[in-house]
Amino acid sequence: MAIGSEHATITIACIIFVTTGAILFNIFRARRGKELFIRKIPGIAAVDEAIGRSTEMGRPILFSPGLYPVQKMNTLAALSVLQYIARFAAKFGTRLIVPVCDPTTYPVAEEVVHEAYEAEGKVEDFRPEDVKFLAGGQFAWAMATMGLMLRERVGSCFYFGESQAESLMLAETGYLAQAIQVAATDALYQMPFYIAACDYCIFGEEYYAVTAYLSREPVMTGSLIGQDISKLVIAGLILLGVVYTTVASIVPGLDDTWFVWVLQQ
Amino acid sequence: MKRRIVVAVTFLAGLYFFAEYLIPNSWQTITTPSGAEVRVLSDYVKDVASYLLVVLTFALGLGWANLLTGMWKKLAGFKRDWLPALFFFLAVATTLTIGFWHEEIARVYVAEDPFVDGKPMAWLDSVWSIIRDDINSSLVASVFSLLAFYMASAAYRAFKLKNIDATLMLIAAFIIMMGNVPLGNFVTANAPTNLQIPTWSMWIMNYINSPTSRALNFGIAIGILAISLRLWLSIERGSFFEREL
Repeated sequence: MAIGSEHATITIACIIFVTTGAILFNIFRARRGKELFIRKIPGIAAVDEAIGRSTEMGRPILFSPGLYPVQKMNTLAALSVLQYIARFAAKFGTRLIVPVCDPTTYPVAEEVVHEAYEAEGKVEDFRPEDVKFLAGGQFAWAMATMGLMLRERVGSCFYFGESQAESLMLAETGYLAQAIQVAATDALYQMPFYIAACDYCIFGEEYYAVTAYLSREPVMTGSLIGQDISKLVIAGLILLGVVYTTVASIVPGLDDTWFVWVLQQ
Repeated sequence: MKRRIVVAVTFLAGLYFFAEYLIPNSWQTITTPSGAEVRVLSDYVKDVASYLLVVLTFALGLGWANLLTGMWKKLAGFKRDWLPALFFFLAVATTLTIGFWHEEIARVYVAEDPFVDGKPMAWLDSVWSIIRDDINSSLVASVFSLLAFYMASAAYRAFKLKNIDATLMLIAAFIIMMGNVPLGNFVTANAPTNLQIPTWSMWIMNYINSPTSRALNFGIAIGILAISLRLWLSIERGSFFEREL
């Protein structure tokens, strides 16, 4: 579809407003000091464990922000997590290596790591050469990263951002390097690879909850609760549709076409 | 001051795209004095989006500068990995020279095909084809083919009867795999349809895998909406808005 020719239907607009409203309402609620509960997510809780292991072993941490350019949402989410990990690395004096595939992500990743070291008062420990733009091509980057993992004997690997066919190559190399591995992706087709090869996995919506879980900051936590409410609303609509369509198929004369019509408007 | 400018630009840009998506064509179409119909938002989407390209082009240069600097440091001091660095510069120089030359010839002689056999520049097309198709594509294909071996080794470790989750995964994987190879079809070919392995495989894909994927997609979409909202309103944590974790 040509750019500028696609517009929201009334139903989509309503869903956007309900979702946005739920998220904003909970952000403001959390800001006012309301305690909000987030369930334990093992994959995210393992982030600290993986950083700690690298520090204890005196081996570097490897963080991959993925293949996509900086304007993509999953790259931005990855960079938020990168800052958290970089601060830990700076605090404990653990080397952090960031192999970058997309040239547009590189300057932002470097700035994120630099700011994290600055925030910890360890700016002199920041090594710009450890944020590396390795290659623009998927497999060239994957090969370079795999070589880096083995040469530097990384202690922990974090795979965030967009991953494609190279995901299993990286994860298997991390296994060979005996690194603890945390993988996070919103790409459905890469999930089985990461499940098979990594120690901890963060999938789907959990991927966008990482910064909220790690920081416990009101804005982030409130946003997370808003997301859950939105999901409940959508799940309710699905359930309503399933029940109504089922009943309509059993009861003679009951018409379910209006339900579809409403969703299409 | 810098932060305020960033916040304002981010908000206005976000507002433009948000409004453009929500407002239908009929609500935003006006007739100019010359009689032409103009959509006040949608007709300028392409132009507004092109600003992003300008910013990204600067970043592209920074990425390349980092790569070239890193490689040059290795080569200049004959440090570790100087030989790969030398090959890197040779490869970049050759590909850039031949590539630009090839494209320029193709651009200048656009009316006639300058690379047909017998023409003076036919050799350039052959060299470019060797670099692009014979070397680069073959290398990429070789790396991609390694995936099959990695799959086997990962599957060997993962598919073990360690716990309930792993057992379920093993059973599901076995059924799906058998359902997609001729052997699975052959083994249960004489059984009733409901007992055939391909039927079970289809059932798992349609009734377990599909709904799970859709549910995940819903969660992902809402997650993207939430993070977009936080970025749009400049309340996202992280270095983007000078708020520290």
